[in-house]
Amino acid sequence: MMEAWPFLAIGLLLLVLVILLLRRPTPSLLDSANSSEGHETQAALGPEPFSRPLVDGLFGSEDWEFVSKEGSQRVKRLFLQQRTELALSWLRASRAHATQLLRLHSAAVRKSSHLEPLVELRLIADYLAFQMLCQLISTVVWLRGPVTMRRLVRCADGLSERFYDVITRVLPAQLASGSSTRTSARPSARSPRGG
Amino acid sequence: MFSMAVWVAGLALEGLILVRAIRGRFLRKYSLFYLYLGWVFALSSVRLIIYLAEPAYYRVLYWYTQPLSVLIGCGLVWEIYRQAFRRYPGAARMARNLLLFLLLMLFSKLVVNAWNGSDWWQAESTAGLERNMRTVQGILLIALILVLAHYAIPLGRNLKGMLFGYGLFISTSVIDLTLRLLFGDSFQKSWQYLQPMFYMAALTVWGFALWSYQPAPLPVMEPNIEEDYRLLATRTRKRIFQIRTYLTKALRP
Repeated sequence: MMEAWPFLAIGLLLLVLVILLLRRPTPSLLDSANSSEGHETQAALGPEPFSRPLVDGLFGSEDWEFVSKEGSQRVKRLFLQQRTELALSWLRASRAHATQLLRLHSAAVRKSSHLEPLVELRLIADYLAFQMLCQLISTVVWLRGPVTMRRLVRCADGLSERFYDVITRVLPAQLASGSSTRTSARPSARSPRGG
Repeated sequence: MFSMAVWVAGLALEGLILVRAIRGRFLRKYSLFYLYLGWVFALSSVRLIIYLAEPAYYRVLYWYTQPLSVLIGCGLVWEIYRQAFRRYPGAARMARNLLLFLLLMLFSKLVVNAWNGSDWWQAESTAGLERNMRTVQGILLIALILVLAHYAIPLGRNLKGMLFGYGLFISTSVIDLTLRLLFGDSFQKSWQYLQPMFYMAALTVWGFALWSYQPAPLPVMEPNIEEDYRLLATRTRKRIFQIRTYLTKALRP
């Protein structure tokens, strides 16, 4: 009985995959790049889902220090409640954004004959690990509030650093050379139509 | 009576799909697929004649010819790979490496089995051999589908139908054969009905999908992709760094 399970699992997995494949929309001759890839590129390269000053304010310690010093218990509770909701919302946006980035990366490299399978696999593995950890953080934040996620966030930080390293490895040489100082990482050249 | 009706209907459908391809002049576009279908059509016709003329030989003929059918079916997997990744060398390289890795793993398993003195294919019966060979095809199809999905390779109606029909047939065959080997003769009657019905389902899908020639859509804006990729890669680097920075900021209560 036990030796039958792997065969049944493979059969069921394939069945699920082909059904999902059938549900995937078939692009027409003209819209494959124009609408799908074009819009995704615009979305990913456009404005960030949360502006940097806003996120700095949301996750900064200044507000919490002020509230814990001056505010009543009710205000503290309200502050933590709202902060939890915002943290969850930001995590969701970050995960969606990472997914969009990976999709764009895949769409960009699929025609490249210089594609490195091992680098690609590492990127996928890091992306999956990052997603799983973000999900875990979301669960902890939802259950216990944002203060308890210190260690998990440190772990996610390490993972995103690995993800970052892989991404810079697949960059063209002239772009990769500018990646050593991360804090000044700005796109050096913008496409006229890219965003 | 029912199995005979399914058998004849299957032959008619196979013939119809082949005739459509000949009349539409796209037989050569998917040569390996039609080679497989032509082989199955010829073999099924011979089997039907033997079944009607000399029923005693049918069982022997079936189990002796079935492994060859499965082997020719591998050509269909190759056809799907060839057609889907033709315009995407990067994704093709990824798929090729993944398929080679899987085949190497399977080959290593066979060598280890042979080294340990057990049956090289670990199949005690022809049904077991067929199940194992179908499973190999299933693993290769799973790998192909995952690469296709990851790189968002657009599939035309023909290729999508080819992949869906064969995937459906292989997956149900693996499950069906496993259950038959597991439960033995008690499952034999169900197996006799289920196997041809799943094949009929695959044929129906192929009939609809390959009624006329409709290849995969051409990627229109490909020349700009490289330029986008540079911009994208730079922005990706910046965004990933931002995610990391914000997560670090979230450390502070």
